Amino acid sequence: MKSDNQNGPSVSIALIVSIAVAGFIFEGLMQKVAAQNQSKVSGVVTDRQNKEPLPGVNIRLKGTEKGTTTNENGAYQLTVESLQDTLVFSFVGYETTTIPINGQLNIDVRLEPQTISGEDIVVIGYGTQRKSDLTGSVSSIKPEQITDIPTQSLQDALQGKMAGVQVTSQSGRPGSQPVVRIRGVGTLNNASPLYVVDGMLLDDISFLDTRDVASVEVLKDASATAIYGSRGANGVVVITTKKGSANQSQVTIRSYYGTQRVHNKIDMANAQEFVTLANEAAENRGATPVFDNPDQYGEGFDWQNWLLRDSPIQSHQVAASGGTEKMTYNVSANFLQQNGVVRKSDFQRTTLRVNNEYFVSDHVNFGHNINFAYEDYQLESQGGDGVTGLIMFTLQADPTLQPRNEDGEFTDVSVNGGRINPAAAVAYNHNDNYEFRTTGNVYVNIDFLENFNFRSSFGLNWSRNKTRVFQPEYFVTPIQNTQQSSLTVTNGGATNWLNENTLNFQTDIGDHSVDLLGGITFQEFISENLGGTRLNVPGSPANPLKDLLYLNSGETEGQTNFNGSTTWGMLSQLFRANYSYRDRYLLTATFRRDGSSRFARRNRWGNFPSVALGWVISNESFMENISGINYLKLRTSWGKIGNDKIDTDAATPTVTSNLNYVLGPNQDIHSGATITELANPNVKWEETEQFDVGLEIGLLDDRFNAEVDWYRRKTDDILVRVPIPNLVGVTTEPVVNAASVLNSGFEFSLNWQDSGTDFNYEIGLNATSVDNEVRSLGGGREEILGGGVRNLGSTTRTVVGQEIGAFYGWKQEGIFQNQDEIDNSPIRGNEEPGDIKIADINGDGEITDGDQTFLGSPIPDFYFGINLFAAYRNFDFSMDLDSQIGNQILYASTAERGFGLFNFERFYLDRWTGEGTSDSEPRVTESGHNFEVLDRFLYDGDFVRLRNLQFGYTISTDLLSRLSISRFRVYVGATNPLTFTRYPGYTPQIGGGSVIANGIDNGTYPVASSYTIGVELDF
Amino acid sequence: MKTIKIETPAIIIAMILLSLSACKDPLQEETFSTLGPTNFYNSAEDAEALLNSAYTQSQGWRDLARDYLTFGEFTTDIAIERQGAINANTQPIEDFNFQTSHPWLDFWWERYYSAIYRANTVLDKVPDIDMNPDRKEQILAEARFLRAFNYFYLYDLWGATPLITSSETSIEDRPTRASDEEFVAFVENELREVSEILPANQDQYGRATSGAALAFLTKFYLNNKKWQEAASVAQEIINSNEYSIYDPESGSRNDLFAPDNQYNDEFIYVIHYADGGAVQNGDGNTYLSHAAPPGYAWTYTPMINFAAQFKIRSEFLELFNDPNDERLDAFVFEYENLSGDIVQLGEDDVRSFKYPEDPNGTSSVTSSDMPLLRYADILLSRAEALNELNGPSQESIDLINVIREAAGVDPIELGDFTGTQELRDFILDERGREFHTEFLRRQDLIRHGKFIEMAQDRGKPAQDYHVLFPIPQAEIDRNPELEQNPGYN
Repeated sequence: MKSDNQNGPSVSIALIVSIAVAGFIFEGLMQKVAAQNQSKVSGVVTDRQNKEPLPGVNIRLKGTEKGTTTNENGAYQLTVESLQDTLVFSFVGYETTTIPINGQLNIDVRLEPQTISGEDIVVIGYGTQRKSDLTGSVSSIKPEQITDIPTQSLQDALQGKMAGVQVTSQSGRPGSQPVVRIRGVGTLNNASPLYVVDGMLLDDISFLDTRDVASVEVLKDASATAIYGSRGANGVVVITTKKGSANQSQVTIRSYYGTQRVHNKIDMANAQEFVTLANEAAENRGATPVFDNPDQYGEGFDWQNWLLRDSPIQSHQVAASGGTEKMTYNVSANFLQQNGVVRKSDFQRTTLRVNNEYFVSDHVNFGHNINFAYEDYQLESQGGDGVTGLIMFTLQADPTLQPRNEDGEFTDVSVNGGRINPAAAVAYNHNDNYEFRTTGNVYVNIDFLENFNFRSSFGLNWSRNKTRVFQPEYFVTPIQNTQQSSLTVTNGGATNWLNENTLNFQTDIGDHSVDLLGGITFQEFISENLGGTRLNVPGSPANPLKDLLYLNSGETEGQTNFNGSTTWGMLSQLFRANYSYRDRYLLTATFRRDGSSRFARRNRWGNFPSVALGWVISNESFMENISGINYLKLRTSWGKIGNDKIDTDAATPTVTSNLNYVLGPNQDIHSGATITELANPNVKWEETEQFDVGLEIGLLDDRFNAEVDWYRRKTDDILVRVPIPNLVGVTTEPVVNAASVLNSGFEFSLNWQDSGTDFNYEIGLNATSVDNEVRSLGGGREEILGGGVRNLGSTTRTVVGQEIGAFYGWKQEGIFQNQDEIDNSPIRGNEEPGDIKIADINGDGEITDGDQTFLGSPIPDFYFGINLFAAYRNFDFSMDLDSQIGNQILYASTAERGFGLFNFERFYLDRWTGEGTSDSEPRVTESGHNFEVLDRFLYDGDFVRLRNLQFGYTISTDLLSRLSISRFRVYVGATNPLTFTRYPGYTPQIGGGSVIANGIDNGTYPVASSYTIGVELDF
Repeated sequence: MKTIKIETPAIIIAMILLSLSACKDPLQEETFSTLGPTNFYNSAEDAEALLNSAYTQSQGWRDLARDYLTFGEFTTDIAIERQGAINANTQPIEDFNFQTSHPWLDFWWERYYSAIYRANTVLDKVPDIDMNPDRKEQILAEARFLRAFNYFYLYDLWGATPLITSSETSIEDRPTRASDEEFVAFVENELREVSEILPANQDQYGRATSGAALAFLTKFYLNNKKWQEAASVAQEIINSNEYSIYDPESGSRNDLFAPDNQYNDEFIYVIHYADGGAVQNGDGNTYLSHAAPPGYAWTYTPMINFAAQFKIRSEFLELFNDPNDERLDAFVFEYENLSGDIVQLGEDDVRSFKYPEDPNGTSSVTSSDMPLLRYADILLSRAEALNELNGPSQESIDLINVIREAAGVDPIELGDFTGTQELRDFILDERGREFHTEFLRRQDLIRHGKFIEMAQDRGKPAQDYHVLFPIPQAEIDRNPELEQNPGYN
């Protein structure tokens, strides 16, 4: 069983490795002695947090010198004279644990890692730092907190885990990336953070498998983000992937399989109810009833049940890591398959990662972190989410009709006034997407002159994607048909390379410690797409012949082709100085200068400075006598950072083409083109000034840790379109850097952990408050209207003093019960009894636009997460709660009607049908006064969700050790099993859209609950 | 220490990396696939493309009929719209209680001015393009026509508005309204001047001709009650012998509007929609999908039948006092629905199918061209102008009878009319029978001083100031220099 460098788990600190090696020798000596005795106690020692076995743990019989150490699998065996003795387990970096044998022959022990606050190493931009030396606000998460959550996106796994980080699944569609907002919404444009994976700067991390992740750090304040300059203003998510360590070879297998289901279906009317409501609506508009015999329909067809299905999710990883003094390796292969709960929306991704490091000498090492990802997925409809999407079509579908008629043909749903047969929409939609992507970097580290380190890296994000959309020739209804089949194939490619060169100098002189960093980086983005469309491609509608789905199979007549490309680049200089005096007084200053080709010459360069101060009070001599407080630090930072995720065309005028006109006897299309926009060569990046004060505290031997921050982020020069008179004649308004937005709030992160002999637990709480306010819109603009919903028009209004994208409309006061009441009330138009009575807010006796008011905001005031972990002997349990409070959701999918006969939500049954029948639900109508922007379409978005629930059991038997299995854990888990909310749609998490069209539920793809079983095996 | 050995390669590597990265200026933006001003405005093709963009903005809009009917007929005795989401926009116009924020007013204000901007861009950029000088002159004249054409409609809806004659602008520009005299003189002069440059016939049907410029000039004079000028320009058009009245041997006069007759000599200027639901020029004409009654069984490929319903008021139909009037063929009084039942259309529910079903119609569009000016209008305009100048005359009667004969109704005689007022009223009725569903009624009623009075008779709260629409409030917010039309403050 004994061998030097096989089957050992990974422990990263070299010191521990050498102690472990010493331990093996000691263990060998002890075994000879033990042979003479009678009772043998054995077991496995593991780390309480990451459940990894611990080699080299010292085990001593209490009161004696007698003892042993664990082997490379964490197993031990000790011969004792009496089963009433007591064992003492001790190991560097862990709490010493004392366990009475009490007659047991098998004692498995979990050791609690000794957390000395501030000793954790935290990854920051261009380096690492001890947490105690940090002057910035950084949230960290350990991999075991995220890898068990069944999801294809890392961001999803971060939901509810970190203060200041709000993650919203904008759609439950497999492969979709959630919306991440760090400390509120600081721009009217793209508010997504920057992602840095092993030093590579990216906007999209969909290639990443969560199980490859070693740590996630979210940089929040200016001290932490300013080193990323013009790209740091929305926050930075720094991700480090796993590496191997010398002499710690290990093979791991991680697998789960589960099923996903939508529990909270939308309560739609059945056929009988639909017919009643439809006839009533017809009657109310003075038309003849749509259905003749309303009593014959019964339940009808449940379209929602037809569309939504239970579907599997599975993920498997095999990884090997280890190394020698000369090189380390970590190789992993991952496969993830998630079928959508909506038909025809399946996703799968295979990734291969190779993270190796080579040590050329004591001073030089180089390495690479490279990820290959291949994914393919289908989209269930051309329209995606929204009014033209399959979810909306399904909710609207006529329940008196079946998908197909007696002849097996798709039902013409227009017979009663419907528009789209969802079954035909699915059958005739063929939208396949493939992407191959390589992301990673190679780097070299050179230490020289004792204090210097030079690092250079070359990173690449290279992707090739292909989309193939085939529309067969078909006719279902006048609105759902094609004249001819068509095939569109698009090949896209993007390359983003980054070269970073940094020089680091580090020294300690007496009580002074200095760490200086300087660097130059270059980055270039190149993208090109090429594609075409062909008509009349052969193949049967439902089952197109895959062999024919190439452009060459279509007719050349009527073909279109397109090809476009863009390139832009960045050049940056960065500098950082960290200074600390006696580990008590900390100073960090950073500066980055960015040059970007996206802006006109005179605005090409921007400077982004920050300074921060920290005071580790607990290291002061006057704190020595204060018991209970182990750690106390006060820190503050200020800095200026930029957001360059803005419209790159804004600075240079471009020609709009395709403004064609029909001329001549053959009715030929004649191409037209002109400039339709005023370019603004003065456009530059947005600048955010951020101020942060934070307090970190560790109490009661670090069992309690807390971190509190107050932040104030003010973004100026936000790019907005400013109004110019329409008579100028350009159809697009010019952009200028004019608006300003303020976000401020508190962040709390509290953690309690404790352990007993064979029991330990941890409770974490994080909470964030966001106060968002538009401070100016600039350029004479008084409001920005957004969130257009058919029937309602604009639903949000962004004005000074309110939150970005606040909902704006009328308030409902009741229902007009009779004509008398209408005659004596202010009205909007031709209201009839049963219509909504709108509140005359300005009291002028009329209902006009002036009676509109702010009805709420899509930005939550407060969000929090609670994370619980407990372990008892071999059992472990974890639970996460996620909550959001104070936002509003516009239930747009129920407001969009009148474009055909659509099914009704069941709440329409509570309608007004005569005097006194309802004072809240109007008579059934499908357009008109009851379909204005009214508060009745808005719902509180508050929710508390049980995000994750997991029970695990770690099996430890002799058999496993004989099979070289050092660890074998099985678990069952549930994700999103319960959500408490008043919102009647699929999910209260409505992201998506631009920041001025947020919180609008327009047929959002449902977010499913999933139930999984999994195994974790270490060899 | 070994550090000295390491130092040299480290620096070399660093220098190589730095020089590799620096060998190309990374900040030079390259836009490969979109045209910018440096590679545009150069060739004859660019000149044509600039002009086409002005054409499409002037009239390439699928819902043009919907919007023009709303302004031009739902405000009158001819038509109404019921149901559908657009009712929120049409009903307030019909009821004369619209807000100054009405979205369609905003839309058309912007659309006319962006068409003017595009025409101005042609006029500013094309002179410097090296190309065939004859074609260049024509292009410039077409652009001036389009600019005047858009001002014609602006004047119709709002009165004199700012005159923008250059595409050069800045974010700070806040133009004021032109005086009425200045505006009217500009439109009159431009149409007159381009009528002398434009050809009588264009190779490419749909382009502006000298006849089109004169026809709009006739109507502009007529609507401004410049009778003498209107009569004389109408006579110029008649004398050109380019146009004739459609009077088929067999079939109906209403066949004029069938897709087969798109190039008829009676059409002077049309909105040209392509056949077969071409995916350009606003996709086609959506008129019929709005006019079809519920459950209408289409003759050809089923089209989309919108919830919105364009309907003809029964009172208006009383104008058709001769049952032989072929123009009655435009109306649908009863129809067969999808279930095979015959449905009678009752009070205020008859439909105008003036633009008949199109075998090539798809989805919600047909290819029927929309005439903006017909020769019939020129004849009736001259008849009306002459009557205003000198009272009833044989010439006026003859002009009217050309139309009546084509429609299959009995001719009128001079003796039927005792004075100007009698013939004036008759001409207004004849125009109603002839031009319903062509958006001219509002202009006609205003010119005849009956627009407000008739609306009041229908129970609408119409006031004298309603002969003009309000300038969109949003535009006044953006440009405080603009003065609102009286009555709307």
